[in-house]
Amino acid sequence: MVTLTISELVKLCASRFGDSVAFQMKRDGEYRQWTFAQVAKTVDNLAAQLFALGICAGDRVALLSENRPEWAVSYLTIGSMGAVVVPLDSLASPLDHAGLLKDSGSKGFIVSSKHLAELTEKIREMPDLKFVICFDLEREKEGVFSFSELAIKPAGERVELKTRPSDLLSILYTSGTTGVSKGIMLTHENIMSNVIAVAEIFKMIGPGDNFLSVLPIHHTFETTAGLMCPFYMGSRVTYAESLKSYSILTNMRETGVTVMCGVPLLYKIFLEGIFREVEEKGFLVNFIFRALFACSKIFGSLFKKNIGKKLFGMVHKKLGGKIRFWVSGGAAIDPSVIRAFDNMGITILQGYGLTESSPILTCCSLQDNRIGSVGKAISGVKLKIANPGKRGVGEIVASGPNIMQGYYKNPSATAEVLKEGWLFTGDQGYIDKDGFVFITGRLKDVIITGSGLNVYPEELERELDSIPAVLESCVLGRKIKDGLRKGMEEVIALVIPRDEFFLNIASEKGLEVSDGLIMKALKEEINKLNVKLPEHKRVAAFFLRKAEFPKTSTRKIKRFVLRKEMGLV
Amino acid sequence: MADIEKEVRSLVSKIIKIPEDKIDPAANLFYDLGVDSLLGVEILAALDKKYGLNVPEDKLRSISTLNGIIALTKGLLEGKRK
Repeated sequence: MVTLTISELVKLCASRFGDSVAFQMKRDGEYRQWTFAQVAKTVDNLAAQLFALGICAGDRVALLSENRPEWAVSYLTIGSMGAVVVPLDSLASPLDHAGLLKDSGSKGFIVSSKHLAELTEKIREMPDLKFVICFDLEREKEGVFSFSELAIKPAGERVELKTRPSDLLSILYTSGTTGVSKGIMLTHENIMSNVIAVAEIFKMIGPGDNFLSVLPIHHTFETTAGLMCPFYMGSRVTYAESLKSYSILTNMRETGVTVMCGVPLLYKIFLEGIFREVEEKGFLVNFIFRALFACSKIFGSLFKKNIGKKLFGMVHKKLGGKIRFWVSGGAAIDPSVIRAFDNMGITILQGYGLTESSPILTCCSLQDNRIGSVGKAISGVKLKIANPGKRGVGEIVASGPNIMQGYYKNPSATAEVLKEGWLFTGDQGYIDKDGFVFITGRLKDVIITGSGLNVYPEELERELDSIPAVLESCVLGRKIKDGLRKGMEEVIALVIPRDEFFLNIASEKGLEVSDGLIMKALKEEINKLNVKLPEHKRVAAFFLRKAEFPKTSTRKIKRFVLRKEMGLV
Repeated sequence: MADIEKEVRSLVSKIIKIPEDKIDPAANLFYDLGVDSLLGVEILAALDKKYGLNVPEDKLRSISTLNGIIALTKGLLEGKRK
């Protein structure tokens, strides 16, 4: 497969799409736009400045901000120089950010003012960090460079840094907790092969299209599908001003959004919002809406034709009237959500992948959308089922140009998942006779929330075990039974209390050690920890356990046994 | 102001799809009631729409209970009146 480096991509897109808008975002009531030519010019200028600040090929530069065009331009700049982007999660804590800045040995740090304010003290202690660039500074201040100042400085003479497709482009950390967090290493070829393969599926997408960026931009799904794919295809990316649904709708209407990448929870919130609004309009509107809904469903099943767009013109008008399709990834989406939108004439295409695969492995297409499936393998990706059972269900393994190089400074973890060029995904599923992939479960312990964010139990257990009242903990995922997130996963913990801790407390207070006392103290401690954790990692419920956890000969917790005990299987 | 308490409780209940009587106003929305940041933002969006406010998303970092949301709403509405 022909592939590109980021530097080649930027030049190619500038020559192909020059004056078309690449990125836009509403600020102070107006959309500030960057054309492809302007992006290429800024990348050139900024690269020259980074070079002057000492950045060479292979050096790490960390990137941290909310979704915005400057993040995209910085990503393209760092990649164009052959340097390595370290995208940080804007929802993680300042402590996590500091830990990853240190672990990655980042020489440069490009950041928004909101995050810089939280890190000012900590970055002084970074041994490798040479400079900080802030998006929101008009001028250089107290040693922090202004992004806008550097971006307009003419490039002058610059040594052309040659990059190759096999060069490292980014290191993405699985979470903020250093020591147990894994840094996924992706090359230019990994990302660009994924981008080109996706573009082959969506050939109809081009300069007239407009993607809305709502997912966290550091997430590979958003970086590849929401930034690099539209850039390669000459489409524009509109960065949402806010995640409030009415604000997203305003951005959609004002800019004529045609495509959006989202996670299951976002689509569920949209759907519930539509139903709520209809209900609030009274009995008659509610009745008509539901009747149209049923009509669309019946017509679709009888005549295999979707009349949803005609019947639900008002809904489409609210969304700007130009939606071609939405893409769902990050976690499994409830098929009933896809069907409900389908009845209204809005197609949701489901895809599947892992950060380790840059991330897309499979995707449904407009021509070939099978609800319930995550689609077929994209071009260049080979999939097979390892150790298939009776019904062909087994672990999904993948190979292709998009598979990561390994985990940063962690060869043993790499060896566990990369075997003879195949990535063992840890997901269970099967491939039907037409090549459609169906996910049926998960072999790995990772918990995937409705927002598509991963929680690695070992990382959270480390945090829980650091509580003096906790002897040992085991973190599991549990399906939510009620509320809007019904069917999605949440984090629960089994906790073995540290006896001596409670004996001391009881003797100090002249009380007896009881389960009530233990539960109360643990609840307080876990609540304190929850406040410090990003919201997807928070422990929703915990259960007291007195007996030791069942363990393997290598002292690993047998989670499957505990899942069974807890009735989670 | 008592109406606001009732209205906000009803609004939160509709968004998170948990019956009003099951929401303890002092319970933590994020880890007792399973609200996550997307749903949290949706609650703020509903407050904006209902009361003509523009509650900054950053407020979610400091508010964790229904009582907190009610107090925030009252505060913002009072500020608006002045």
